[in-house]
Amino acid sequence: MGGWGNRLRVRQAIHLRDLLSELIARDFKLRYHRSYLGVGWSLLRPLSQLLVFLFLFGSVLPLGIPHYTTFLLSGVLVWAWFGSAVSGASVSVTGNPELVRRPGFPVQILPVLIVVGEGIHFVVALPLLILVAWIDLGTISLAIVALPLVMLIQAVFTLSLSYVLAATHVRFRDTQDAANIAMMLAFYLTPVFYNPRLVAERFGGVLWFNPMSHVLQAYRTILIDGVFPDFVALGVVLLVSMVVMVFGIWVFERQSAGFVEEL
Amino acid sequence: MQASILKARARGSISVIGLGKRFRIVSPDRQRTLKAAVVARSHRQSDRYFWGLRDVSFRVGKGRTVGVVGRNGAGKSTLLRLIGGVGRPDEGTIEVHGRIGALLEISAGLTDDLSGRENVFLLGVIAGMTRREVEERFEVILGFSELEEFIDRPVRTYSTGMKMRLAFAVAVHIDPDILLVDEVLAVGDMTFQAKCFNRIREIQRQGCTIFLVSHDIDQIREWCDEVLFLKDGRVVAYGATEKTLALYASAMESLNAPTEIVLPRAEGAKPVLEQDRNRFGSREVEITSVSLLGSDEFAREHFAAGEALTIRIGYVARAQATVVRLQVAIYTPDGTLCLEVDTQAAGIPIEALPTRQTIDVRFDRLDLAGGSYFASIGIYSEDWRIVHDYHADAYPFTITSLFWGRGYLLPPMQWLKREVS
Repeated sequence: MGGWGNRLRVRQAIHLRDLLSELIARDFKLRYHRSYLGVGWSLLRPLSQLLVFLFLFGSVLPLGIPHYTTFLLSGVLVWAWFGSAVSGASVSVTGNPELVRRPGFPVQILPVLIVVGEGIHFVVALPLLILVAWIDLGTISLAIVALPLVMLIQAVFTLSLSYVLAATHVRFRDTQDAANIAMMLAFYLTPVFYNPRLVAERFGGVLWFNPMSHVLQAYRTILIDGVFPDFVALGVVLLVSMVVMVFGIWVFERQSAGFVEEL
Repeated sequence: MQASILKARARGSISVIGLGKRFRIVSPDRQRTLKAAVVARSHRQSDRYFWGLRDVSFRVGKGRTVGVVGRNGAGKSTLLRLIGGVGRPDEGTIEVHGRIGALLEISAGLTDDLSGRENVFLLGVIAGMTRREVEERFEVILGFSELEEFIDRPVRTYSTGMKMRLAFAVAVHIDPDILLVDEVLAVGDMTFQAKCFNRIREIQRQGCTIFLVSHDIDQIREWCDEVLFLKDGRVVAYGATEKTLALYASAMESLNAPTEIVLPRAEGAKPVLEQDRNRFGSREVEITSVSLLGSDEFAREHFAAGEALTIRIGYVARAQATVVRLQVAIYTPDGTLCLEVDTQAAGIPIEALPTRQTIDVRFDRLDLAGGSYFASIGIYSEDWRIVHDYHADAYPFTITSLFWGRGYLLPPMQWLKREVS
């Protein structure tokens, strides 16, 4: 009898995996449908951003950060994943009314879909980042084995925010505008293009409270300093993410009863 | 361990208890913005609700086909959605065991820019299959849809009928334990429609529980074992198809030609009867009085388990003498039928005359478990086709018992202990 229950759970897990991959595949196909470059666009967007910042803070107002190309590219790519996942996830429920109305469809999967989907863009760009770091520094440390862990923590943190936003957006369409402004501010409050040590004295506290600055720091520690990241800081980020996640899922579950009527 | 055995056995069954779902009445200046919500917080009472469904209780056994009838807005589709797990009830519980398949808004899930093949996988996985299960069935689904030549073209290029065929082919091949159908059977051309019906018959024969919402009475009659009749979000009747359909038909008729509402004089008890709420029928023959009598011949509402109960029914034919059958049923508050008896089945011919008559049905022992019950009384034509007068759950009574137990029956009993040497 227990076997029967287990088989059911295994089947459910397989189904969730298939559902996730089919829906992500759909999103990719639709996004790059009839486009020459396809997924290449996911590289071009951060690359163009990289060029702008390289020009601005490498030549016009030199910030004097060592290995600035690697520094910038890691910042831009990490932020691209976080930013587009958060703004995409906030409309993940409202954008899929036909799925929400389908009997038996697990709505909880919708924010996951966006976070993982955007994560794939990041993974596609990751070899480029590692290559750039290699050229820039001449060496790659063994510490890159810690990258998947950092990515996982970033995914958990992003997902926790996504649940809150996705649920809120169903009731209040302002959420998207508010989230976009918040994301723009957060972009500048995260040391994407500047050196956190330079502002540490005056704004260190603000950065310290920003989970994304710790996550980003971890990527750079691995790629530029070539050592393992500060696992204590990452642990704290993970812990905070878990708390937000529990809250986010709670909000999402509470609101999801009304999704059908609100759409 | 125990629980999983129970669940395994109940796969395909549905149990709905005290279900209620309310909806906010949407005003034009609906608070869609944060600002409006903050402003509205101070005068929150502006939110008004109506109950789309209330006090809905019923059980569906595995492999049964249940039709849901009712006028538009009676709550049929809401009920179907809730059973499908879309939205959550505000009151009561729904227990659904097994995988649900749904033929609702069939082509809504299609993605125009993907090919037919990609859509089959997408729809199948969304409907609850794993990729492998879709793969295994792909050829069958393709054959069913008759879209072999077009399967690798984008769905954007399909006609409406082709889209329907594709979506339907997937939907009827997911091997559900419970299938929800909402009036979508009228899709495609006649041959494809016939094919769909055949396929649903096949699913039915495989022991799938089917829940069918339809306005087409003939379709319900052809397919269903039981019918659930909803009105204004409440259950009017739930039972055998022919009888419930007759009730529905009479309710629809009286709606078209409103008859004078005559409340019967209630004797003893305090039933409140209201036309088309708990009273239905043509009134060619009318129930004029109903009393529940104890063994002492006095009207009562409380009985002891194992006591005798007599139900005395007065009736009269409005115009000419008519042959009728008289039915008495006892229900629990959650809608479970405890017993149902009728005169015809008992071989008692009854001819209602223009003068008032009474008939007694006497239960020598009412071995029901303690609790509250309702009696429903009905007078029908011999063939069930016409409802003359039906009082649904109009006569409440309680049974008190000394022993506590579960279930509906409490026959005289004792425990005997014995030593085995």
